[in-house]
Amino acid sequence: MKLSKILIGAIMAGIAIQTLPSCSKDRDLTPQQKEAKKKEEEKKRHMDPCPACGMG
Amino acid sequence: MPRLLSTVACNLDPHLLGACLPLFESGEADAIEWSFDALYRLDALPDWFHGLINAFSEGNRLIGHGIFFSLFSGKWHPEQETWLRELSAVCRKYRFDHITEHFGFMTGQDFHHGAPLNIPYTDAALRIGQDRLLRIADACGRPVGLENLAFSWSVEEVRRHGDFLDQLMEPVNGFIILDLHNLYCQVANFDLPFETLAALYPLHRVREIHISGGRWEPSEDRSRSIRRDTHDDSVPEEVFRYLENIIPQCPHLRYLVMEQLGAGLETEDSKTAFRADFRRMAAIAGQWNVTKGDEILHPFSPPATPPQGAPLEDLALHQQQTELSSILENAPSFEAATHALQASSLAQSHWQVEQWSPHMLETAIRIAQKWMKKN
Repeated sequence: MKLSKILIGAIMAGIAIQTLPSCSKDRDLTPQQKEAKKKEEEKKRHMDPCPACGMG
Repeated sequence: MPRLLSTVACNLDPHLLGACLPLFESGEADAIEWSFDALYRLDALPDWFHGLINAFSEGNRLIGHGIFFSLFSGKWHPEQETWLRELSAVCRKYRFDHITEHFGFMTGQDFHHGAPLNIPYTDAALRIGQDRLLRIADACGRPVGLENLAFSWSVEEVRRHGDFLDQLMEPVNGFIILDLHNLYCQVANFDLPFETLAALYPLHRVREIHISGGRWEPSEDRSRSIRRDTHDDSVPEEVFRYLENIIPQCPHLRYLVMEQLGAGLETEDSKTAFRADFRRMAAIAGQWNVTKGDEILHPFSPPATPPQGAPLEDLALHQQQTELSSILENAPSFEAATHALQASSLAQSHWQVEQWSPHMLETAIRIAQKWMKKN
């Protein structure tokens, strides 16, 4: 199925944003906060893979 | 046979979407399969991902593949009630051609930190599964299907799985997803010929086929390799052979789905290999599609009447599942798990733990502990 060029561009940008490491105001965070933030971003970037077929 | 649609299993994962993007740009992906319940950690979909799902929905080329319903939990859980409500909501938003789930029950406290395991093929389990499939059909209003499980405790279970699936799908007029890599695992782990195993499945109910890759893992005593369905590698040559062999035997087949996880698609080489596998699958579909005339689609329409009464439960089964989950998740060793099982309510029961393959118990411990640790 063919998708519109506009949608392809939006997906491309969306992937790029999701793949980028965060660069905002990390200097103001404590090491614990940085760790928690890193974990949260990791969760968002890597959603649960599928365990459901079994043997995964 | 209807025209075959070459489909990618597509979720909100940048590596997976990066691998799929050229297939979307070229129009090679006829359809997408989306695990609509995998995003429970997000409050809302990003606009661009909604745009992708919506485009395939409007083109009637979207199928849904649930992960976390836990069809065979002995007890009816609030999470299942919520899952059905959310399924109804997502089906009002997007037009799915059908909805599928997986076989088995999920270990773990809330289904999101567990692994799917097999259940005894008893009449009580059959009734629970049939009742819940009707509830899924009622919630989504679409044809409903179930995927064969890669995991089995014994060769006897492997042989009975197809027939049990057939009986399960009867009341809901449902279909099955035949996951060929799951069969590949069974063939390898139980030393059975593919043709023998495939003949035990209700192939007239196959509407969808999955192909994917996995990995070999040595057993604890290093005496053999266990095949696992990890979805993180290329499709084995043998699975393509299975695909070519099985297509003519599935008169109602519609979707061929290529599955791989983003975790196995982080390099450019792996993305290229993923697309090569997809294109090989699409070429196989194309050989069938050139000979097709008018499409005659089997509707697999679910019954119009909703299920009556409260969801069925089997509290003895629930107790056994809880015990089993706890043993698998906490056993420090294979020996400890074996002893605990012998002293549990599963001993000398329909579970037939006495016949379980040691390698599969060992694998179940690994899987349960792997998914329990995820947080």
